[in-house]
Amino acid sequence: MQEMMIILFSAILVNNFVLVKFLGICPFLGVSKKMDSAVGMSLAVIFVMVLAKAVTYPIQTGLLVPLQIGYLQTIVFILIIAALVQLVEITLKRYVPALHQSLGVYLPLITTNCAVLGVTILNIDEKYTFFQSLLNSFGAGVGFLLALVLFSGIRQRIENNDFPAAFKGVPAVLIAASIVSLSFMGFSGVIDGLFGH
Amino acid sequence: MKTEDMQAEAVQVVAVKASSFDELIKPSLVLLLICLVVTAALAFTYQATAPVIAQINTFNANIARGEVLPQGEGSFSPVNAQYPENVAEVYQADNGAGMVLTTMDKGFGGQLTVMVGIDSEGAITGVKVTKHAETPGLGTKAMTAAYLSQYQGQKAITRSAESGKTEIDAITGATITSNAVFRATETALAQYKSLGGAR
Amino acid sequence: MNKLSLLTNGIIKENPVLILLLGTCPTLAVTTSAVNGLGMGVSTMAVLISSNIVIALLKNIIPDKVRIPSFIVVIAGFVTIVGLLLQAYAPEINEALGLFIPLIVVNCIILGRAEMFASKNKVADAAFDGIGMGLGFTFALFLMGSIRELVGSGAWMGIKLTAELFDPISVFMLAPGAFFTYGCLVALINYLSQGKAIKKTEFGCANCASAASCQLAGKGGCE
Repeated sequence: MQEMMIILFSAILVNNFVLVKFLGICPFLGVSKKMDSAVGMSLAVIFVMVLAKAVTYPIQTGLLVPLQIGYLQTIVFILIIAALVQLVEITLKRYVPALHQSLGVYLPLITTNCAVLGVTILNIDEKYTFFQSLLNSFGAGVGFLLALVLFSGIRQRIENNDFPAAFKGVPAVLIAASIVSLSFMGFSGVIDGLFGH
Repeated sequence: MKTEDMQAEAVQVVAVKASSFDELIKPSLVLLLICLVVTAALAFTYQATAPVIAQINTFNANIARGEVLPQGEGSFSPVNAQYPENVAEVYQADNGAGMVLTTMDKGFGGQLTVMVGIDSEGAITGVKVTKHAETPGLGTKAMTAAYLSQYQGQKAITRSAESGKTEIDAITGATITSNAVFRATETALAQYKSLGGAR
Repeated sequence: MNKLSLLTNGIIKENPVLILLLGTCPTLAVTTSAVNGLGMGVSTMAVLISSNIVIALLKNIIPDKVRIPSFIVVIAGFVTIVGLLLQAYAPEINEALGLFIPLIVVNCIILGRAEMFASKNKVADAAFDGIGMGLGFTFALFLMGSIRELVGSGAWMGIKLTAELFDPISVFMLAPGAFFTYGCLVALINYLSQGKAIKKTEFGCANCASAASCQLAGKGGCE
């Protein structure tokens, strides 16, 4: 249990995918302008991350490793993610149109979101078990949600601020991201203190 | 009339078949073909690079081991046994000069991996941090060659001035990292002893 | 467009990182030193040139329906080949770039160029476009890496320069420093061109690699 908590909270806070590991920066900067789109995007990402991990894990351990074709990992994983995203979109559209309305629009953007491919590869490098991998993927997704929600709140505030002309727009957003990621550095070392050895 | 109908139907069926070929089968075939060609190219590249990769990995690992145990003269072989979770690998010098142990412990930013060289007398010949996630500028202070040199020549180490052991100091601003390096080195010494020293 | 303008287009006028603001993940993540930036830039350039050429060659064979998956397979193939070559001949660079080597697959510059340029142009033009964009990407990453290494560790290309004179600001080696350096660079370009160079005032979806398959990108993004 304790180990589970450490994996989960490390993924959310200490190794935050967006602010510490630089994965999924495009949606972080692109879809964080409004709170509701930030939440919608993040929920879709959490869902696809966990699903992608659940599918890629058995393929890695049951197929790629025994056949010694680990070098096909990248190509197999990205194809699985692309197919999964398509499948989820079609299913949602057909059976849960309401959910498709709110989340479906973000799905096509997720195939090329490096956070999703990143989490499937990272879990294998970390040698996690199946359940630990799922937990870590979920944590990574929640970390993504946290970063996007926090940042969209900040962006709504900096919108009206008076910056020097050269810093208006994109640079201001980047400097704000820098400060948010600085605050996340404060979490490193905290997890052990909370859950102990 | 009837035959015309049938003909029209037949034309339609052919048209449907042709369009489903263009719509479904052709794209699938092309995609499959691309996948096959790419996989073949990858298999070929893998076959060509695999021996080079294996060679360079052993070469680099032996260089790293040579840094903590220079007397080993860059030629090591693995010692296989059941090890506790925080001992990654144990190698011994082929000329019997000593052992190189790779151990892990928890640092400030996560797992920290240390390589420790121990000579046949049981004295540490070198300590090196090979993998870490510590804060640059703070935690990394406990990884400098100057700081780690205090481990050299020690057979028994302590944190709290026990008699008969050499006290290792932590470094300001990097206490947790210093402690992790200390514990990992301690683990290596203990593992060395439980293996019964170098053979 | 002639060949020379295809080249300079990618390096200056449409620099993928500094002007088009694409490929932000590797730009921020691997630029802790000039060498790493250079390594990432060259690896990406190799994939970009090869995939541009192959996709321009296959543009009449690949049916429109499976366009994107086919591009992804071709790109992923080249990424794996580059990864294997790095492991064999440049293990230090491979170790430093780590996860971001396989992630070249989802670098929006590569899929974006395949979709917007290579699949519509002649092989030679696609090759030159790849070289230009690749050089632009490499230059930007090298610049970011140089600044962060110099300020963050007082060295450049591994050579100690100012480290002895004063304590380096090591936060520049960490995540916040990456965002900060990138922000300042974009601001500098804004200042020098008086706001004309960078047309985007926002990060949006229009240049995203998935734009083709995303019904919202055409309408100006997900907002």
